[in-house]
Amino acid sequence: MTNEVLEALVRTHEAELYRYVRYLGPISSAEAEDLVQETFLAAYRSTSLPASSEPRLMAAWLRGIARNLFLGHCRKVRNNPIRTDSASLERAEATWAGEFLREGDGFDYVEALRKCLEKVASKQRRMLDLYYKEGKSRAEMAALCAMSEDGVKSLMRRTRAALAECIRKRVAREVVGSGSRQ
Amino acid sequence: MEVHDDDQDRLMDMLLREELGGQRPPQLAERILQRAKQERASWWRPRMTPAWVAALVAAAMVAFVVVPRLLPSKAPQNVAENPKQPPKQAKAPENPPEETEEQEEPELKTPVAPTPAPPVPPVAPKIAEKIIRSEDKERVVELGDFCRVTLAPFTTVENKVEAADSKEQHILLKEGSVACEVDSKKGKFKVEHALGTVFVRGTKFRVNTVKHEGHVRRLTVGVKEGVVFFDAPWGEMELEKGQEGGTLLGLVTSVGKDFIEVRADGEHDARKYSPRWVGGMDGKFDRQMIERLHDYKPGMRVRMIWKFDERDRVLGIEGIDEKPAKREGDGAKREGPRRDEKPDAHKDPHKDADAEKRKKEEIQRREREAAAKREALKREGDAVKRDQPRREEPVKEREKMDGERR
Repeated sequence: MTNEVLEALVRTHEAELYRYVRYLGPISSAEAEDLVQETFLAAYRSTSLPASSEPRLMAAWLRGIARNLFLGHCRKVRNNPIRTDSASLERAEATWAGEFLREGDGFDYVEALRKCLEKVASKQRRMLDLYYKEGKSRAEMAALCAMSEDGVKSLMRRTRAALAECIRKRVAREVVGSGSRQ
Repeated sequence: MEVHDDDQDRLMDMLLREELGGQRPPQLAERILQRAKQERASWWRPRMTPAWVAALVAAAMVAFVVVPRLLPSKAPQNVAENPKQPPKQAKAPENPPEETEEQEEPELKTPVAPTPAPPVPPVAPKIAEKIIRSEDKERVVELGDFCRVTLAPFTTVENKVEAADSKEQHILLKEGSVACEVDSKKGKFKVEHALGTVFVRGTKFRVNTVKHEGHVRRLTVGVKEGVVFFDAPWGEMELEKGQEGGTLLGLVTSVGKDFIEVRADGEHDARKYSPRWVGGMDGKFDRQMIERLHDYKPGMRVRMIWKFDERDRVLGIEGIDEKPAKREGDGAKREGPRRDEKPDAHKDPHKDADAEKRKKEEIQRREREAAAKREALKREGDAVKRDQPRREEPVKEREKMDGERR
């Protein structure tokens, strides 16, 4: 692989691959960056490139490399709380490709998430802001909102599930809409 | 496809961290390319040993000896098939017509143009593929016999119409820039993008996108000929020949009496956008737009549609609830533990936020101290220079020597 091809590959897939690696497990941003870097370097060294340079195929190939590196990384770390195996990683890959990418690059999904966030009820929105924007722990959130920690946890989980459902409907509607327009 | 709840939850968690927590994908290209360059250098060094050089020279010599012997071996066969034909002519397929007619094989008797054909210009292939991508150079594609789309390097578009000869062509611009030439009499064409759609009535235009932190943040449309209609969820406009406009996401930096200043994501400097001018010579700025502009305060994130008409004009604006994007290059500094540090995957990333904040403050404090120190050293240096006596001695010595010579 030439440097030019590598550069094109990196610029096309780096953001998606970074998201993917962070999705696979709770790793720090520095670890995710290292894994992404190692993935591209492994691709660069590889002598067996995919037959087609179609972006979707290349992305799937890079995700395969990243998955194996992630598995190796989890095995290397002692007392690693991330319990993962190849079967669960395969399942995660299926969710990523089927749910998030949907034959695209996930941009529709992110756009749909932005729209759905506007419709979240105020209490749930406050919880999301406390957790994701302000970086509060569950205990702090529980104290602020006069709830139990378990209550906070289940509320957050329900909110994420509701958001996922909203996104799914919105994306499906857009697909139908664009189909009928054509 | 069955989606597992845990995977779904993790996916949402990751996206919410990105959207609300501002943990956007970093730009790693420079770092990765640097490493690749180093690796390549280290690959070549051990291979270019004297043994390798000797092997290469030997291979070249063998090729030099063997190849010329192999090449003419075809010629005698041709001579045997057609003894009249000299070996040179047998090798060349594009012979003059009178010579080819002498040959016995019927397919060689077909008339051949007497002059060599002019070089064929590169013909754009008819594309039926879904994702069209240009690598490191421009690529030209023809859609439906009436659209000629030139993709700038590193551009990706999705062809939304499967039939290559359809009279309604539609592409989705994912990243990069496209220049389109459309014969509007033959069919309809539109370029769609998440930030807006360009409908074509005219012939030549260019659509350009700017990516920032993994997302396309700015879309610019420039019209060379004809008219295009641009439609975005937060406004619409018509662009005529020579006009430029587009849509962007950015940060409000100031709001004046009749303007708003916005720094678009991916740009270093903010630009002033004024409302439309209404009423000709005795007219004034669009009052409704001025009122709308005053609803926005510095620091707010907005998306807007703009057009260049003597100056940058804002035609539509909408606030967005989104964490302010960093400036270009801010994300280059690496945060978190270094590669040689012990990884701490079991740590909750949220708990690290305070530590990271403290670390950032510490780095900023150190930088300030270093700058102050540099300033002090510079001042000291200037003072020393001022205090030093002027170097007159060498001049005096020279005069003395001149006098002695005389």
